[in-house]
Amino acid sequence: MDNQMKNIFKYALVLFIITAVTAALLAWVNMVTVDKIAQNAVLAENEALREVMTNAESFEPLDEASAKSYGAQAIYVAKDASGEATGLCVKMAQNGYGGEIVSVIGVDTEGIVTGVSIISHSETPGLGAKLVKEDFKGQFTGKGEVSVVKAGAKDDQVNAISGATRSSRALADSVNSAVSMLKQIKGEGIYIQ
Amino acid sequence: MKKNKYLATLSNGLLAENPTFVQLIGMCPTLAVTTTLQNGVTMGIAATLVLVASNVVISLLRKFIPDKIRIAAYIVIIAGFVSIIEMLLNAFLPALAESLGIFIPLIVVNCIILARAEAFASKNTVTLSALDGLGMGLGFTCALSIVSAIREILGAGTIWGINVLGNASPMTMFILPPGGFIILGLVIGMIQLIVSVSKKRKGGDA
Amino acid sequence: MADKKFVVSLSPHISTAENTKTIMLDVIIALIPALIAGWFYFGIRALAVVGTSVISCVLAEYVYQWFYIGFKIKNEKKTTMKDALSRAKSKTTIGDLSAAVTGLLLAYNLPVTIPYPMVIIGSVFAIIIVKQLFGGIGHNFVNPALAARAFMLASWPVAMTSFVSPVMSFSNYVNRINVTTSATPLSLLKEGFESAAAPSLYDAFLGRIGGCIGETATVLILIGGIYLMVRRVIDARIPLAYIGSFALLVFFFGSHPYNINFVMYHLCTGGLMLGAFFMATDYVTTPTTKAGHIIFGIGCGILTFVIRRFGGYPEGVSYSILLMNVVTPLIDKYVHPRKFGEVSKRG
Repeated sequence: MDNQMKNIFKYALVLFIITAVTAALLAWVNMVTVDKIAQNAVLAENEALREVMTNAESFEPLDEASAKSYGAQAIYVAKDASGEATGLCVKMAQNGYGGEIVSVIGVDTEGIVTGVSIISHSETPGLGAKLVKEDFKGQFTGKGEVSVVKAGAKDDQVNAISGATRSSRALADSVNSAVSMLKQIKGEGIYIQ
Repeated sequence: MKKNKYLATLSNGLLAENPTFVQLIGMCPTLAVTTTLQNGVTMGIAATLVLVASNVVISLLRKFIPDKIRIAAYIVIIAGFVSIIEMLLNAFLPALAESLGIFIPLIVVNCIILARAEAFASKNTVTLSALDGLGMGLGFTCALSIVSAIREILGAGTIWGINVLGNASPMTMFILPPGGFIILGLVIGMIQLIVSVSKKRKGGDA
Repeated sequence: MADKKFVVSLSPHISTAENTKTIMLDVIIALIPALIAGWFYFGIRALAVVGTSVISCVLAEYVYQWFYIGFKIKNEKKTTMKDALSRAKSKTTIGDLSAAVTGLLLAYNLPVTIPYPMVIIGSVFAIIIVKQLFGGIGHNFVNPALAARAFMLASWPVAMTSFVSPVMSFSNYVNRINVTTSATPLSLLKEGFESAAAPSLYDAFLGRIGGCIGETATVLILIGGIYLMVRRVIDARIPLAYIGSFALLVFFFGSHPYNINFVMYHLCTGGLMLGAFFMATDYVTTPTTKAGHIIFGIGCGILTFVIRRFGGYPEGVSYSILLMNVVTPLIDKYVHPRKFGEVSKRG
């Protein structure tokens, strides 16, 4: 009995020492890296924003609750050097063919799309995955609300990806939502005049 | 004599007991990560670092850790090292961390590391354990490189991101999971064939 | 060499190549009407694709077996490689025509515009990887033609889903058809049954619709299927169970229920007939008992319905058959053939 107790105590002590040392080491590395990691996250987000709204100097985010009330994951008001609002960057999630498509859409104050960037998706490689290619998503730039057609798109249309109509439509829905969001916010006159 | 033992330990992981092609352990990350050569090589290097570090520490502590709790102790040590590598990657190589995704933390349960801790590091000296970790890690990295090179060329038409197939359409199948299984199986078969043929040549006709 | 394995399986066993050959000949004969339809509707390129597929399959089997048997002879008889190879030539089994049938079935499942290199790669995959690497005829665990089609669909999604409208008149009879790509009727069905672009049921029955080379001409496939049933090459239970269960499910639970027209439309599109009569009836990959056949057919019917109704793909025949192929050993395990000579316990 006594020997068993001694053994359990020994096991507990050894495990405690190992875990304590490991935990201390982890805490130290964490301390060293935590700022850099947060910085990287912000940088990545900003990079996506700048990609869709190239002429903006700064981005002012709306709080999460307001963004959600409009139907987006996040909304940023893009401002130029003088602090004037030049448009919105909307981060949206839409159900695509294989899962959620998360995208960032830049819309200027006239309701014209300035750029589309795909953050994440699970579309089929070779088909829906072509969403990220410029020859598809670039079509949205310079247009307002659009509908998806198979070929021969006019000013208010975009050509679908061959063989991936659902994916194409999902992204178009996101874009159209972003455009209507801008019109709504502009109409309210709070963030944009 | 001693030199032979060290070299033998090192080369063991590369050839005779290659974790992927001979022991067939660590299959999950092998299949998942080998979609591009860059991913494969990075994963291999990360796993090698963890392998060497954990082998060294476990070998140092081998007389200190009681038998009954050794698995728990090994896992804490391995998880600790993997977490450190994950934090370092997220801080200094974020793009790479993003593309490897969940498979960095999964190194913790990569059979190879636990297997070498149990089979070798707990019973051998520190130097030999370090060499074993290095050998196994390099063998794993080689295996990952071969499979991911084949899969990337066939499935995406690129190698390390550089286009090699020109306008020809690649076979998307091979960057999907079924393609991974098929390529891995074929490569293992090929290697076994080469090994058995060379054994026949060395040992005379069986 | 511990290479000799005893394979324990239920009867019937196909033992001589000669028996396989006559069966395969019947299948080829049954497939010819659909071939002519493919030629008529999609032009001479359809024939070229079929020819490429058949030749590639047969060649792949020949070359693989030539070397494989050659190596075996070299090791067993301890002769030179050259001598072993020349001896191996006569032992290949391409004469049983099973590779040719695989080539036909694979081609029938491809769109006519498929580039020839893809056809060749698909054929090689079907014969070498799905069939020969697992042990040759009798040992493959899934239908080689369907597995190759799934492989090709995953590899070249765009090329495998580019369908053309069929030729309606002889004036369009050119080597390579330059018509616009069209959606297949099934993908149009997913949009809405009364869509104006969808062809009529009459067209679907005759085969005047977009689709793969050999799958559109329902009436001709039916003729081939009836021929096989009359010749007792296939068991009628499988296609009847498959088509029957599928039709019932579509009638009651489809997107336009209680509409016979809708059911008929589903039956005439998407390669259902081709699958039900020619692929779901493959001896190697389906259960051996009669009850097993019925279960297999119903399983295929259910899966095809679920994939077409709720799944993202407009057509589900190939995947449902492949899935049931994998379930076949399970069916065989639990469905026992009638044993003769047993005395009942009461007696």
